[in-house]
Amino acid sequence: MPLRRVSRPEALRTMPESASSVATGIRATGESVSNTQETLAGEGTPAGWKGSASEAASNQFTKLSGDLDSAVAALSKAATAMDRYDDRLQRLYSRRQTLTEEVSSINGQIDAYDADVAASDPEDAEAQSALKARSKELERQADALQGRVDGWNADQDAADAAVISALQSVDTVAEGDDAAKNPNRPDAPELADRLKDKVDAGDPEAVATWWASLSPAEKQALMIHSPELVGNAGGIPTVDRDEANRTSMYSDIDYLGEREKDGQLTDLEEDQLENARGALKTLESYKDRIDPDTGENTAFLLVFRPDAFDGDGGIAMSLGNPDTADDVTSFVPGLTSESSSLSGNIKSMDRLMQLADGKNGDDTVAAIAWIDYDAPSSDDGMTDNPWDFVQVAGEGKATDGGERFAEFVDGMRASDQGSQAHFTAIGHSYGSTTVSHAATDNDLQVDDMVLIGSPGAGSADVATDLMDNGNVYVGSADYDPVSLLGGPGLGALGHDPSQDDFGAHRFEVDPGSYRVQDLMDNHSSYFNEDSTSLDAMADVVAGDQPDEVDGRVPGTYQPLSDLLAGTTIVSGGEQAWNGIEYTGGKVADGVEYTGGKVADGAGWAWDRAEDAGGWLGSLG
Amino acid sequence: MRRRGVVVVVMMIGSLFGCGASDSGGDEPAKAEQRADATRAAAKETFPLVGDAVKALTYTSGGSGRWAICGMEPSPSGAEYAAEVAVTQSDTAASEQAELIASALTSAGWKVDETTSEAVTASKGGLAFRARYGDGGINLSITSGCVDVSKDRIRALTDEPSEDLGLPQP
Repeated sequence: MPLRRVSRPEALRTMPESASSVATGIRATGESVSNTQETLAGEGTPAGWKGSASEAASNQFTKLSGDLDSAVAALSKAATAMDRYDDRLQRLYSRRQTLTEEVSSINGQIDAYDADVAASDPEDAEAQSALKARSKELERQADALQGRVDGWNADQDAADAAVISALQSVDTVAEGDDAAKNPNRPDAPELADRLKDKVDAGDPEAVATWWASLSPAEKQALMIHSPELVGNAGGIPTVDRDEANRTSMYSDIDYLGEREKDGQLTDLEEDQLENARGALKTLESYKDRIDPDTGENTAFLLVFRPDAFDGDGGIAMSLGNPDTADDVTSFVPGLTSESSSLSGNIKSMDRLMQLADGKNGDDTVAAIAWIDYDAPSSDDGMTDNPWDFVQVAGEGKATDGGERFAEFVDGMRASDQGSQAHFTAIGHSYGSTTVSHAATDNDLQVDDMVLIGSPGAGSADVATDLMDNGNVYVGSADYDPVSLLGGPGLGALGHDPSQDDFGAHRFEVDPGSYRVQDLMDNHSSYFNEDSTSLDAMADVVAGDQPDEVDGRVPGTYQPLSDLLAGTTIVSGGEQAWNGIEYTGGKVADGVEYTGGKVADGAGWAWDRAEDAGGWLGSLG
Repeated sequence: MRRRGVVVVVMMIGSLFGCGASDSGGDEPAKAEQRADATRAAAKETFPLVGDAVKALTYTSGGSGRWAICGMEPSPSGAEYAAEVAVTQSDTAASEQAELIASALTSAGWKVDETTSEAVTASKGGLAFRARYGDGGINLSITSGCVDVSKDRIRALTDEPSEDLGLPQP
């Protein structure tokens, strides 16, 4: 009798991401209702309003507050049910992948068996006996596997039935009232106070332990009541932080979007709404990217503080789950970075992650763009010109940012699962000064450090001031003017870490274009596709050693003043030549045109020449 | 000597602040749209082929396309169009996917550049294809390569929302 092939498991009808998305929507609605309920419960009627009308209004507010509390309780139960459903779906998803692999294998063995039977000699008793034994064993394995496939199909039905039942249990007003009066209902405000105390104590390990002790219902109640607290708390697992921060994000977009329609937004709220919409746009741009090992969405919102830093906002997003990844990197960008810069910076992380992932065998990678400090920005008068580093930036924001970054890394270390990840901090430009301060002032807990395009390494004199193990890697393009601000000697933001006597490992970077108008492009080239610098950073992230080049030694490279003068002369020559070409041989017109442009620029430029001269002078 | 230094400073400032040709954006704006069109068309043709090859059951969505910066702020060097979708469930074992994907790509005229245990990369007409697979699913992407446009144009392109490619579900 021919052997029966094992049927494949049915397709999962609901993907975990869909359940997670619904849960986030329920939580965001719950947060909005919870906020309104607390406002009504706390404020009552205005002090100047007296009499029977005031009393009636106050009574109405109390009743409405109670009704809303029932709604919050119902939404909290619904979110818990959806979260549980999400967990079940993830397990089903994972089991399905395994079963598909096993079904493919056993059916392949049955195909091979059938072929061997067809080719066998029916008169060969010994061969027929062996085939019979093989058939029996295959049949036994196939039956067992078919049983597991059938079990999986039944489990999917059971998961669907369970979530439907749970949602139906809170879909009437009376059931909402019952949920609100349930003595076992989690006390969300009290839980929030306890979490805040632990966060303020600066002990993310304690946060992690406490969070793990909560029931699913308590976690959901807290995420509805205080998503911003949960989402930004170091030590809480990445998946939960992401869910809480998405809840805040949707709630902000909903609430502030309504205020926008009513023309009621303050300036800060306008920034907050813009930052929330920007975060959503960036997350949406990775909605079609999954972790191929787990099937979960690859983007995690680790920090969401859209109103921080006077509206610049604080944000951090990861590609890959840093709690489970083997190699984790966190990138700190530099000047003019703010919440709205997330999109470009996460793209840099995308390139780095993909390259590092190809270098570390079966290990996994997560790459974080961290923009949760008050980087010098246009609000401070910062433009994209190098002398703003000296005239505007100073080290204050790098010092403050370094403390915040070290705390963030401590939080990620506390939520790490399994063996501790290999962690690399990368700082670009002013972000490199910030990372340096995180190390010298705040005991940054990383294994490797990369500083690129650095204007100075803060208070560090040598690499071992940053990392005891000396694992400091530096990338500095020869024609990156910002990387020349720190030396030789001591720059306004500290030493140039690519100087030979600093003692860091300097890796090769494409020198860049020798034209003055391209100098800032050179400063922004470290994550370019196929660049030597990106490859070297991927080596470090993957735990390998990049190829080293010699550090800078005075007299063997162009200091900033020479670079600016040299590239200006080269570009000036190009301009004159372009002017001649532009006029198609009308040399006189070309000269007049070029001269006119220079004259226009010179009037304004002359006013700043003194500043620039002073700046050049300050470089020694 | 001092006079020469002042001239250099003035020319330097003039060049940095727009008196030079600092932001030419080498490729004409239409080139960006052409590359995006080519990427979209390739995605609409290739993603379903690969999906069929691995017996895809579900995708993350109908696929999406978006512009991303090349280089980084504060001075990005260009923009790149990327089309993506992920196969979230298939009836093919993960261990068989690499070969099936490479074969489907070759039949569609792609040159397979590399096949590893984690990914397949291929190229055609300046476009880059990548499939990254594992036990949990398959990421598919096609990118245009960087297009050299002005910085204002880069910011305008990357401000555009993701677009739905409208791929049919299996």
